[in-house]
Amino acid sequence: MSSPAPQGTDHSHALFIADLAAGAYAAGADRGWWHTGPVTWPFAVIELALPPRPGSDDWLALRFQLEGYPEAPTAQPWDAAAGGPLALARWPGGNARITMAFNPGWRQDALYIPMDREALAGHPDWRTKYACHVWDASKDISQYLRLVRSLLNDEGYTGARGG
Amino acid sequence: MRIYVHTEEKLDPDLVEARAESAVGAAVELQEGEHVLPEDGEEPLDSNATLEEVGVKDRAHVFRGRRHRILVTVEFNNQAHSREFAAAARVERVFRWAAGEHAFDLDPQDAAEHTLALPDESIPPEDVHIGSLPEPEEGRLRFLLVPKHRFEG
Repeated sequence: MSSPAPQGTDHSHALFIADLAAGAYAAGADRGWWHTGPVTWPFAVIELALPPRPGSDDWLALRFQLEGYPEAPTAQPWDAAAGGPLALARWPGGNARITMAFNPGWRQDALYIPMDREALAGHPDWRTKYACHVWDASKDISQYLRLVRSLLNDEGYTGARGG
Repeated sequence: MRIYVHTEEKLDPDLVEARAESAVGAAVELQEGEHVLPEDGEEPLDSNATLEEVGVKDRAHVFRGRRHRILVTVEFNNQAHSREFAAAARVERVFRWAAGEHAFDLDPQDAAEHTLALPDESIPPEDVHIGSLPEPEEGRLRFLLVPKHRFEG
């Protein structure tokens, strides 16, 4: 007799772990775009490679809160070494696309992008306005990472925003 | 070793475990009428040769499908430029051509403010092989060069 399929949290956790090993996420990791940090369900730290800028970090860690995955997660900039929220001076800076997405004046525990559960909850119009960038529960975590990567791998990224 | 196999009308690659001495065709489960192209490469690989012989290394990306050459048209500001690309060309490569001197010749600041979209306004990921995108007409693809979104409101 086979075991019943995991439900709820177990199902979300198992699906997330399976997605980390699948082609979409693994390809990004093998291209050097991101790598997986500690996973303590429902949290997971994933670090994204940053383009080089003087005095700035090489990686940006995001701590994801993945409850309900594959429904939309939320993520916050994270200090992987200290195990806590990233100091605001080390948040990514640059053009308006970047400072609006990384917007501590709005929230420090989420990103202001249509992939993020918290941002999307407050902006139902984004589902049509930014339809191509809205989280799609039929896809995996790499869609969120790709959007953040596309924001930061841009001429408009100037490095850590500083003091 | 493992290789990433991109296929037609599926944006994400499949991750395949293979041995360097495996034949290309067997490693990617080639079907009749299909060929295998290295990422951003122009010519199909010899499906009977081994992965090692044709230079497919660990974690390499290849395209498997019936498509080989695709006529790409990019539209911007009521103008259009076209050229052929191999099916294994990444979207990023098409963007560099479209923004470059052989097409719309955008200055670096303008180029940084734009991206490629499909006619349905979806934004294909930069590393998708164009042979994996849905073709409205066989052998042809159409992109729009559009401003990047700024999330506000």
